[in-house]
Amino acid sequence: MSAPTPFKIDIAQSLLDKIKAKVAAYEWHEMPAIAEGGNRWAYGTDMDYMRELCAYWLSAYDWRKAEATLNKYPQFKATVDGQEIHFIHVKGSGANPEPLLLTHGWPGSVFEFFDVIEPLAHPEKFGGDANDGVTLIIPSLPGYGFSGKPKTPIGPKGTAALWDKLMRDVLGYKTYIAQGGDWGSVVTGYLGYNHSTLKGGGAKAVHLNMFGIRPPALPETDAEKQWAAGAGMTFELEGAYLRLQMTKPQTLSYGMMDSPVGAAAWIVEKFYAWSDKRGADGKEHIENAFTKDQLLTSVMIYLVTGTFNTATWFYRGMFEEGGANMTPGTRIDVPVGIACYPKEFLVFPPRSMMDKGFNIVQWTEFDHGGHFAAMETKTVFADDVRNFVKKVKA
Amino acid sequence: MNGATEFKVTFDDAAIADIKTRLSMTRLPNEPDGNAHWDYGTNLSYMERLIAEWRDNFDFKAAEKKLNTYKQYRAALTDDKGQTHQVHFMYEKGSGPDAVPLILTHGWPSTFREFLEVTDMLAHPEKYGRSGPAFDVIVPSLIGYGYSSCPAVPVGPAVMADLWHKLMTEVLGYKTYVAQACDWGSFVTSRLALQHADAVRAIHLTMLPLRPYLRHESQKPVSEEEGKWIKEMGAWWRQEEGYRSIQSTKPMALAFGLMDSPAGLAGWLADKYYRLGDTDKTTTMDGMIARFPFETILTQFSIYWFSGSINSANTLYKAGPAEGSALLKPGEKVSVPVAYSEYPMDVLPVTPRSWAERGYNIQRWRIMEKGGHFAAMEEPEYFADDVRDAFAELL
Repeated sequence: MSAPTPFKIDIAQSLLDKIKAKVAAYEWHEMPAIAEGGNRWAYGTDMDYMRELCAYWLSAYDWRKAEATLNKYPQFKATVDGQEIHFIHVKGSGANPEPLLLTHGWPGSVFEFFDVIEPLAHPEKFGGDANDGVTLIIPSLPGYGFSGKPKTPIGPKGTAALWDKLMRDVLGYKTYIAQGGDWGSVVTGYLGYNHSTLKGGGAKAVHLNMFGIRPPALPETDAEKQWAAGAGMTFELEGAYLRLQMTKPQTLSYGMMDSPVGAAAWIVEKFYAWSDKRGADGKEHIENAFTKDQLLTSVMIYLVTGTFNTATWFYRGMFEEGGANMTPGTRIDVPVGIACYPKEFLVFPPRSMMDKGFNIVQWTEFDHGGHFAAMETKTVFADDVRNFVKKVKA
Repeated sequence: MNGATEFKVTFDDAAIADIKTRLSMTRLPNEPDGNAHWDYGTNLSYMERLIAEWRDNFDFKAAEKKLNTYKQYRAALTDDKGQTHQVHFMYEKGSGPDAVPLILTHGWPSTFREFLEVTDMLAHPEKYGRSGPAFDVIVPSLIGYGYSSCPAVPVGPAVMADLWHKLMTEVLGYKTYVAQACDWGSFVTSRLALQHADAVRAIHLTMLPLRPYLRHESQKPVSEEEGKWIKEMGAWWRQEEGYRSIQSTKPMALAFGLMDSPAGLAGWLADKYYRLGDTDKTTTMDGMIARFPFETILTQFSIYWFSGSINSANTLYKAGPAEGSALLKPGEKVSVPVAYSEYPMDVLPVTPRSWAERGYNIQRWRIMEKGGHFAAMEEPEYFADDVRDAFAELL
């Protein structure tokens, strides 16, 4: 355990130059022919879009500008059980701001939350009440971004234990609320399951925007069975990255560490596949959900830190922890908020099944947004989380 | 020969200089503790050694010369949907007037090079003190692999089987022939036997890819032995299927990195040689290097790299299943005589013969003692003898 030391991102120009040189030298190749009007992402990442993105990367994208944004809020590093943890720490407005721990996922980073930091910490700037402000703690997962690289894979259960120590022992918060999507949802689920205030930990409520930790229940009703069939189908079509990363992350890593365009294609495909890309014209386009700058900054965080590899270890880490299932007869008893975004790819089971594992006090269904809800919906996400905090903080 | 033009492999100087630069600039991953036996995937020390060998010691010109040992050709052949492919193939006429035409088909992540050692042994057995049939040896590159063309619209094994038949009959003028293969090649070869049973006299396989249609009156219930084998195969695949899973769903998510980074390409493919070859897995790299010397494995990887074919090669995993040609129809079976030789592969259990016979007319059954998934490269003489003996028996 160590006291937090202030941290600022400052990437060596030589590394930025090397990355750019490789992008510039990329030799474009063929992709399978797509019929007129067909989905150009049917085989994975669309070549035309990658060309467009890389052209922008070389001519217009400015890492130093992104770096300044990423350095906008106070950042620290602290060592917990030998694992170095990077985190953003923003004090909220009001007399007694509630601490709220936000956890990102893969292939994301702390950058996922940049559009919701101000609305959550300082609601008065957006026409809200200063007393609804929360103090934000936004860590980078072990092996991700500016956190240290573990020697062996760490999974969500292990990370939840680190987070609870970070919050209580390092930062001195006796209790806190936690929120997460993707891996963040699994880690946050484990905070509610293993480290709640009812079990001697500090997590007093959790808010999830992806189905992560599983209730100890099998599908029973027709709706539950229908959900299970749909989830199984999604896994067949979308689950390959997960199967690979949880078994042989090293086999994938040589290409992804060496090739910036390769890593970008792997990551951007997920931003495409899991987001709400619907536009006003009724057509889908990735840039209805994200700007090129957002995509490239998300990718660059992996490249400048050299963490593509260690980030994928998290999957293997969960595999080694034995999955993420609640034991029969147990549940998360502290208050739980569930946010269902329509284009999430790992959708929650029906409420009837969720109630068997979660003490749900807030269940919100949205008509817009996907897996990267904080980035995609911004104030909608912030409003939902703020409502939850107000509901459970007392 | 009708409509084929001669072809030679060229590794050109600019491309050689380029790959050396790329290898020098490789950014390597770190590695988790406990990866000495490749449990997390391709081992880092092995990759460091491979990258240094490829950059500093591999003789590209010698490899190029060796690949041109036998005459090669390309033939333009059009499939049923009207797409024309350039089919690359190596061709060595066998000794004597009665040589039997034999088409050998490689798989993934291999190339026509897999059969370089056995070509001479099969074409000219007398040079090796062997009696038994000599073969006219034809070794094509799968469509999308090596020096065959990259298809605009990806094609699967059933389409390739028709192209192989055209190659053998229309281009090379044979009325009948035999075929041998493993991996994707065994898929093409099985389809060849199904689709052109009148011309294919017998086949020799080291993998049995077609699945029987179990819910049909011709199929007995799955036996206890078969059930156990299916379960063990499933458990093995859950550890190993990551590559197949991504290549069969989103090959284009993977392609950009493998097309850009020779180290990335090698890292992706080396894992399969380690796992599926008959390598000594108690060592980190000695067993791997002994089984697949750098000269051999780097020739394989160089073919993928210089031909720029890893993307189209991987896409076969999506095009194959899309074709729906793996599942036999109710009551359907490969009727031509089949010799099956099973080489040891990792910890996989031996296939029950009863299972094999559900989909194949098995006439010869061998459980081999050495060599793995790349048997022709790993144990050339042992492999060639088995193939020769098998066809001597079946013809």
